[in-house]
Amino acid sequence: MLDMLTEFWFNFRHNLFKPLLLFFYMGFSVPILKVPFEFPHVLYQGLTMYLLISIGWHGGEELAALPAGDFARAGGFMVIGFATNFVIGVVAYLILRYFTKLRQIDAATVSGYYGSDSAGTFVTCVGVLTAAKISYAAYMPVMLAVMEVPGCLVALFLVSRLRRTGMDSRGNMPGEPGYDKSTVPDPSAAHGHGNGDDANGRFASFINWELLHEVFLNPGLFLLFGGIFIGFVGRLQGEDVTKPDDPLFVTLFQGSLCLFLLEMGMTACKRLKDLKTAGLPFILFAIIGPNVFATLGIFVAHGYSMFLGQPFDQGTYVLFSVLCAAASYIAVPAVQRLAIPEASPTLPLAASLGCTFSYNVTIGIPIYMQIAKAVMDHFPVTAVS
Amino acid sequence: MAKFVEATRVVVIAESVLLKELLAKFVELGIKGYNGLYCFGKGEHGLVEDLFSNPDRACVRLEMITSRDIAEKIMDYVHRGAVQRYPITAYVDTIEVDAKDTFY
Repeated sequence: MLDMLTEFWFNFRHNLFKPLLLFFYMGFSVPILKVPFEFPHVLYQGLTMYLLISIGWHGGEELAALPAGDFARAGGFMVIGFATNFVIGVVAYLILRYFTKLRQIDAATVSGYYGSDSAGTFVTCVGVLTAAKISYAAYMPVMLAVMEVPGCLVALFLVSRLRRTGMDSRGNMPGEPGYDKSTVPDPSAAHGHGNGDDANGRFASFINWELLHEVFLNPGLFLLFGGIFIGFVGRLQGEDVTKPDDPLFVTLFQGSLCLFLLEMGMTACKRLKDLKTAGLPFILFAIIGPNVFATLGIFVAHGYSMFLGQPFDQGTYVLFSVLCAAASYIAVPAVQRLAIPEASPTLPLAASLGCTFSYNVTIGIPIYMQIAKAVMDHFPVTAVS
Repeated sequence: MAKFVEATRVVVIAESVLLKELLAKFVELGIKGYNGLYCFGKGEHGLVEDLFSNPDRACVRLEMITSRDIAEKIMDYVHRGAVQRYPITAYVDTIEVDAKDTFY
């Protein structure tokens, strides 16, 4: 036990002062010190695009070298990852309903954020693992894409249920402060045709093409899959084909990640002020929840590893736990904007970016590394040949 | 000398993700034309920040000159049914336009 704690303390200190996190702290201090510096939004978008493509590109290259049998195992892991994040979304909703005073609509939306994952946390974790020379499965970038979707579905499902049970147009449910029955949208108004009484169109049908397009083909997923596909097809043609582009997509990755974390530090700090009205239980959820979800993820991954009789790399556990622990800030906000306009625009992002992202990249990742190692050591998986 | 007649101006300010849907509906309700400007702002509802959208184009302000009858239909549309869940500001005023212009 003492050895474990000593190792955790070493990893924790080691991680805490890596350039990656120093950039994050630097960004975090900008709003605190009131430094008149704005990170250009287009540069932030560009860095996100670059990181998603890079992570996909590198994953695609690695995938091309995988034996056929590993694809089936990866497929199974993706199904499990999808189901795990779906369950996490539902559990998050139950926790939020039970322990916090959030409105039901906000609890449902926040649970969607937590049932999804975070590309920013994932790329940071990849950076930490690469620096520590810890290997991970080649298909993990695909897991990032797959595990982003359940949260969107959880939020949409829960909100549609709330709407069917009398939610008013401001998102208040019967019994909640400010509930106004007269503003409950009339479902019958959704079926008129071509006159002023008609409230038809996309607004009335909850699941529609545009929304499905946003869930399954949002820019983040598209860029990630695009990177995976190009890296995969490129590498299938030989190492010489992808080698000229590797300096951009692989070598520059860590440096770009530092710039990205500079911006994320600024955003995370700015978001924290939105938590003023959220209450302590909600803040505790955003900090303790990721630990619970990550541990669940590690045990799920280990269960699958035992089932297969195939030991996983430590990095695979850590990345999977991060996918379970992290909350979305790209896909679900876009879905919220389209389909859940009644929910608070600030609380979910305050929790996901202000608390959970900051916690995961600083303290969470070393903890998950340690939990993964402990699980691997205490319940070793023997390879079945 | 110009002769003026009364017309109704409708201004609808909404999230830009709604632009396509709103315009299609307004045309269906009978408007002949519109002017639009991208803008930003905040109200009671607030806007969700979405990484891949352009913050300078968060909202759109549509201005339409039309008849009282069509204006009523537009106001009714944006304040009823599922549309009212979205952050939308809409108002009308009576203006004077040149009698030769055909806004409706």
